[in-house]
Amino acid sequence: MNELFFSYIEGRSVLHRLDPRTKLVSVMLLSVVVLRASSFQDMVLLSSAFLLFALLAKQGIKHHLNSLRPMLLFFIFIFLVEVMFSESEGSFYLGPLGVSYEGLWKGMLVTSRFILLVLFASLLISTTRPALITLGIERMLRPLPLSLLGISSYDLATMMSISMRFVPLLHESLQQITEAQVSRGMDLRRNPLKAIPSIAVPMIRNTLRVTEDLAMAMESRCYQGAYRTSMLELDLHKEDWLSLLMLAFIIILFFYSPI
Amino acid sequence: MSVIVENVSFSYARKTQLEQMVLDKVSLKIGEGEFLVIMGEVGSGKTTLVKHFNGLLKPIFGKVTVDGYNAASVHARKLVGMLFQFPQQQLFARTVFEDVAFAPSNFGISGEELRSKVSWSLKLVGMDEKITSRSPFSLSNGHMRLVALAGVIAASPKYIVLDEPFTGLDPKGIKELSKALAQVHAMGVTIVVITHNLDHVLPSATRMVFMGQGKIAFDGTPDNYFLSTLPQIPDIPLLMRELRRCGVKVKDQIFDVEEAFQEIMRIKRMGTAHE
Repeated sequence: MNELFFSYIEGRSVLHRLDPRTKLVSVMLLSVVVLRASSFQDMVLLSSAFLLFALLAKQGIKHHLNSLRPMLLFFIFIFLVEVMFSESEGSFYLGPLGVSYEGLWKGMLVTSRFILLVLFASLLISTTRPALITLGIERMLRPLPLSLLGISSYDLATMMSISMRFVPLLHESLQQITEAQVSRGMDLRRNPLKAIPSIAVPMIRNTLRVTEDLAMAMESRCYQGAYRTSMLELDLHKEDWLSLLMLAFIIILFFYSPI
Repeated sequence: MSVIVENVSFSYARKTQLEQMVLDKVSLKIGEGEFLVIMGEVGSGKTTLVKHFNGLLKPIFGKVTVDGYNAASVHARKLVGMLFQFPQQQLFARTVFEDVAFAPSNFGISGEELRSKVSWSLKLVGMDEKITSRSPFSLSNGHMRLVALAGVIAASPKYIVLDEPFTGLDPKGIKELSKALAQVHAMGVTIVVITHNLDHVLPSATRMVFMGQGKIAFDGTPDNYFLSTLPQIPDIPLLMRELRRCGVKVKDQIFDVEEAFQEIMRIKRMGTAHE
């Protein structure tokens, strides 16, 4: 058993009931807003929006915060990159490194943006069944002339949903391999050069094996990527339109806030 | 000296909606030289329990010590070797030698001592020393598993814990692995095996633990286990139990088809002589 994150959690909240397209559009729009956010007030507003949605999803914040854990190293990395490569003059020194308050602020801003992006994505995934996400993406992409590129909306949607489904699986596999190597005395901090291959090689082998198994299982069940009928038909309800209106309000507030 | 689990409780995904108690105030003492078999249904907490033996998981409540050391310490990790399910998937090195040498070299063993440890452990699991220069990925599934076991033995642990080691092995692989475990146990190493199929370890098992819903439902000898009403009793001991229940005086410690056949024939001969 594992600590779950980036997985669907069964529920009957308002967010669970919304059409997947509503949630997908909302997350996309919110991502644009998050990437445009540049002040402390913006961040407070967006964090409040996230807390409100998490409350509506009735899942508790801890599950979503768990989704940040695998990306902790990435967050630290982008924070340090922003701090170190900021163009402004150093306000104080950490050893040979000149650090400016502006650099620190930029680092915090960029890191907060990524954290919010992950949190909104976690909200989407935890309240929408993977099959519905695929269906939603497929329905949104269907009008596009993708056949000119030699692909179909079904292929793209399936690829996206499989990628999302693989995140917790890969994390579980990573945890199992790390535990096995730690039991054999591996110390990632003391000897990373020796430790990394002992994790990376089995990880790559296992991932290739799992993807190959999945491809074969899909082919065995006659998956061909062409037009497929669906058990579920999507339909936008009053709740969806209301949610989109509420989102539009948040976006207007964000862009035209008097503060 | 022993592994002592005192009142250990554990749950995954703490303080979330998914939180579920996996271990509920479990206490267990594993003495030196035992061959302990842990059984139980899926999700009963077997793997979670053994992951506490070398500090991979830390209890929320309670304490785990190995020969007096805290289970999460480096000392304890050296004493407890762990082989997870599908251990062949954890092999990574270019050669069998490098893979088997991984654990002992991590614990500071090098040079001639390392070489002799590798060849000793490969011999113990019944592998030919000639394979040391081969890639572990060129071996069969069963042999890869034996190499992984050799990799654990090479670090000379006092306790070896194996989580469902027989899953996915063919009969030949099962036989080889059972033999290797019996040999390692005969050298004085304490063995703890999680399994759903008792047949593979019965001749060596000295103690049985059955887990259910995060608690220990049974802890005793295999013979007492077969007298219980717990599930997962293998066919032959079950047959012997039913024969005893019907008044047939069959001997104890009969575990396989051959022994059962001989015993039934013996009773038949006695019956014929009596007539």
